Amino acid sequence: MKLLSIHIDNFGKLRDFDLSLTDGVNTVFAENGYGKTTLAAFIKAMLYGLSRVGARVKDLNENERKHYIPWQGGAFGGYIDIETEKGRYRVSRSFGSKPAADTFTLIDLDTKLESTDYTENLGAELFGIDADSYEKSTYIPQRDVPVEMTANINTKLTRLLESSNDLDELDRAVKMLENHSKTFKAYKGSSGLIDEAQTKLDVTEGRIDACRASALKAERERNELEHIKQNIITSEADSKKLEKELDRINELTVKYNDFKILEQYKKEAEEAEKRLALRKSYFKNGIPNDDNISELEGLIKDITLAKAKMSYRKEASESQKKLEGYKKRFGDEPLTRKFLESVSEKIEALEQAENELRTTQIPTEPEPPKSTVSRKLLIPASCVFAAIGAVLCFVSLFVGIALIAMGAVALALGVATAANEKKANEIYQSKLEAYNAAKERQLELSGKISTLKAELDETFEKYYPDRLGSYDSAFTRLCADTESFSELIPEAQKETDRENEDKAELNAMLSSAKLVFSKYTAVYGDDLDSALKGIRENLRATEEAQNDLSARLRVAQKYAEEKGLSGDAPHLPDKTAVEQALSAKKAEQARLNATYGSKQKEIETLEAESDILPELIDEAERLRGDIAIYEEKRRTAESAKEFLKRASYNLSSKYLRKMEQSFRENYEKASDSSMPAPNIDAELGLTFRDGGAERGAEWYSEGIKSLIALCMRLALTDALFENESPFLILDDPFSELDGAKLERAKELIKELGNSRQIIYLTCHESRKIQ
Amino acid sequence: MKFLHCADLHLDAPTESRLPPEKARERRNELLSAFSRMVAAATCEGVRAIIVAGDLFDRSNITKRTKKFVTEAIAHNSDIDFLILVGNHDVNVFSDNDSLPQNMILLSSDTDARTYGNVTVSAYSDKRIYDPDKINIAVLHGSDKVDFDLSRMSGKNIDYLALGHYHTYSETPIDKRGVACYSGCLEGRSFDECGEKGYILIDIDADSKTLTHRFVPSSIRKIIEIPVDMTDGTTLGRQKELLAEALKDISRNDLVRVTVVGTYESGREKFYEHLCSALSDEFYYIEIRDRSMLKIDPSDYINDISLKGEFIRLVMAEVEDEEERSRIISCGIKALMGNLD
Repeated sequence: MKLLSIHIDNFGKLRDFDLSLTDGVNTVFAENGYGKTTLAAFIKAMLYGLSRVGARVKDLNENERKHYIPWQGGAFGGYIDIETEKGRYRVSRSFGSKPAADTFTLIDLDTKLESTDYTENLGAELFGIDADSYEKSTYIPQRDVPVEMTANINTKLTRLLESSNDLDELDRAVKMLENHSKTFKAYKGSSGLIDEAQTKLDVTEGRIDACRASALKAERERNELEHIKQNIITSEADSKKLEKELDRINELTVKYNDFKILEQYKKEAEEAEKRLALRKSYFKNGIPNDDNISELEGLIKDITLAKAKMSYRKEASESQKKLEGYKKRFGDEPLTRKFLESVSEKIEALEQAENELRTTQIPTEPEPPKSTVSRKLLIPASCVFAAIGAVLCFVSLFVGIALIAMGAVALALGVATAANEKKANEIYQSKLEAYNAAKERQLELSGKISTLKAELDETFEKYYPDRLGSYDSAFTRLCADTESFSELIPEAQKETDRENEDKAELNAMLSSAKLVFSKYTAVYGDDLDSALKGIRENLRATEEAQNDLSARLRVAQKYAEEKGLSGDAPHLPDKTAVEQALSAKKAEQARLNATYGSKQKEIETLEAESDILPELIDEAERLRGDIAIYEEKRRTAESAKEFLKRASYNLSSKYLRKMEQSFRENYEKASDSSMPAPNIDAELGLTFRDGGAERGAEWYSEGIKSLIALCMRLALTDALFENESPFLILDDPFSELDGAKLERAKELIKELGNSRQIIYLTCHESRKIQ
Repeated sequence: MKFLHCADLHLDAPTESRLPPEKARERRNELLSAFSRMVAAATCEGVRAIIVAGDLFDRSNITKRTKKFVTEAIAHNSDIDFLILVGNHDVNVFSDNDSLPQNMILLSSDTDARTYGNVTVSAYSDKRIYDPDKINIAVLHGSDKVDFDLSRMSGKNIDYLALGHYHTYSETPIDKRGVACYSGCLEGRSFDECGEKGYILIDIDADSKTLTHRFVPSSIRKIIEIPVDMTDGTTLGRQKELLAEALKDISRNDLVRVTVVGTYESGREKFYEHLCSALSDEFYYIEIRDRSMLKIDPSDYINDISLKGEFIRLVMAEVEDEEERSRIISCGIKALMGNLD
């Protein structure tokens, strides 16, 4: 594609501007500030239109419309004539204050008709790149090379392709995405929201598993519980069977015991029968019947009657009675006359003694004469006075004599007194003798009386213990009784003989009776009553034994009927074995019930553990949701990062090799032997071999740097435009060059002009290209 | 005579939503409360029997607490028969060893039909003969065309087929005589179960031998998912306005998910998290899910020989899912612009 001509109505500072262009290098020489950049911008505006940024963008550098709106007013726009592979066209555009007011017209210069071969996106359709890329490639500004030269083709390309000049944009974006991604999941290690949530989820899922395990275990335990319950039911059923068996055995035992009791009754009946037999055996001649008893009773009655008769006779005999009375009082014989006379004499002697004692006078007992003191004292005192007087005579004669006189008086008095006392004693002695004689007689009589009374009392008390009368009356009674006793003896002898006869008759009756009694019992002595009593007792005992036997037989029969006992006693099974089996079952049930209880508790615990399952599932769901969100954000960041890297790589791989080749070609053309040889490494880093060393571009002069930059821009242009080879607009790029280098640069441009159209703008004569 | 048809109560189920733990716990309790409320309503209506068409519980190993809660509630309402069919979730919840209340009857295809006057209620079975002179209610859990074929029930003299499995109320005629109804669940548990939930009240006129039914919404809370087009939400204020407009008729008791749709230009600031946080006190639960698309015209980037252009071209060419594409491009551009969240 090439430009044929340019007409600007109004665009920025340019107004009614026309420029015709040819193939190859078109040098536009103008002063600085002439509007070279505006011209370049006009060409871009004709190809791409003005950018459609909003009216709110105030920055003139960002808002082309405001930047290039004509200072002087008038129609905003113009046209360019171009030649493409499709033909020649006039591209007219007018611009309004807003994009909507912009117009675009394409006229086929050959037919003069409006053409639709291209649209208002003419630049993109021609070059396959957008406006920004076009501007950054076809327009080479005056100072393209930054002070700090970046000698990396990749970076250069990136920098040129991007809307921003920030060289770190990709790296920063990638770093930002990585950091963003790392907040969700670290590239190394295990930090980040995803891992945090995953850790929580793992814990929660672990708890869920535990809960489910608890639930499953609870289920298993429930099944086992059911099994235990069945075992308990079975065991209880077994127990019931055993209890029934035990009941049956108990019933049999009761029956058995009834039989035992019945046997006991029968045994007792047998014993009673034996006792009856024994009783019967006592009656060797048979059990006496009522007639026999009556006979025996008659015999006893006869004997009793005979005895009564004898007794009556005995009792009816007065002489015998009296005789018996006298014999009882006096012995078998009456008292003798001699004895009676002796008793009479004692009574008389007693009467005499008592009379004498009554009549005898007993004198008063005489008083003994009184012994005076004077007599007893006077004689010794006279002796003392005489002795003391004799002594005192030697001291005081008078006193001595007085005392001796007093002694003499005393002695005289003493002697007189002694004579009186002797006489009195003699009288007293005679009286005392009389008194004692009387007293002695009295004692003698009293002794005799006592002796006689004692003998008489003894005699009478022997025969009449109850005697109360005097000795005379008692003696009279004794004499009378002795006489009667003597008279009764012959009469009593007759009665005794008759009694002996009765006794003999009675003995005969007894012997006869004993013979009868002996048929039924032994008779001891004559005691037929006892024998009869014994027979009766034996009969009663025999009857009782008979009754006892009958009663016992009735009891046994009644018991057998009541208890329904017949036949033999039942056989008793082994109750102990059944009881042991039942006990074992009960123990088994206790063990099973204990296990059942503990299982139930365990199940309750497990169920309580599994009860939080819904809560945990919710928690897990929530965490999974969080993780899904984090994963999505991370995936998005990672995808964005990868796409950005790939986009960068695509751009590089699409353009860089071409760029490298073009750079080498252009640099070779522009350089001479004094310039360093370029070296492009695998990373498209640009260095130069200089004196055996690898150096970066920053080592070289501004002129060389300008050349390097120009070569890179040319290379970039070659790389970018695939379809149409665009024109280049060079805005005085060699201001830093002089001498040979400038010339070589000019030569390079000329050579480039052979293959493409170049609009070379310069403001210095020396840099003009002819 | 009245019957109540419900199903899919899923007692003891996780909430399957991203509710905070305490609210998740509360919702699980509300599932039980929903059961109690339904039983109370049945008592008020004089319902003779409550038919549970499967999945009364969420799983076999339910918690002891829930099992006790249900059996006690049933035992406490001895005037009502609870005819319970086992669903695909709650097989073997009750074993033979469980002492069930007398009015709790487990239906199965092997058991005889329960008779209430001239009404029979039974678990559906192909082999069962339904008396044409009676009003026959059959109970079944499953999915039409998968677990059973509704067309094969035509002409079987079924008046009402009480279905369970799907969690949303629906009804389909069986033939001229009968109708098959899914009662849906009593309470929604996730944003897959939006809308009205409840039970079906069946009224049978013994004289005219007619059966009528009506759906009774009874859920404690509704689960609502509402799309909000935020294309025009270029500012915080505008985004707030659009949300408020969309949410104005929604009850505070409900669980709400706002799905942001529409497009946005590169560089737009989204205040959804902030707005969601501000609205969290306004509703029982609210979440905002951003499904809006970055506004991209591929033609704008065809000739953009830049990293951004190449990036967008690559993503557009390789990522098929529109949402994912939008996310990646938005993320990449934000990173290039240096303002990645």
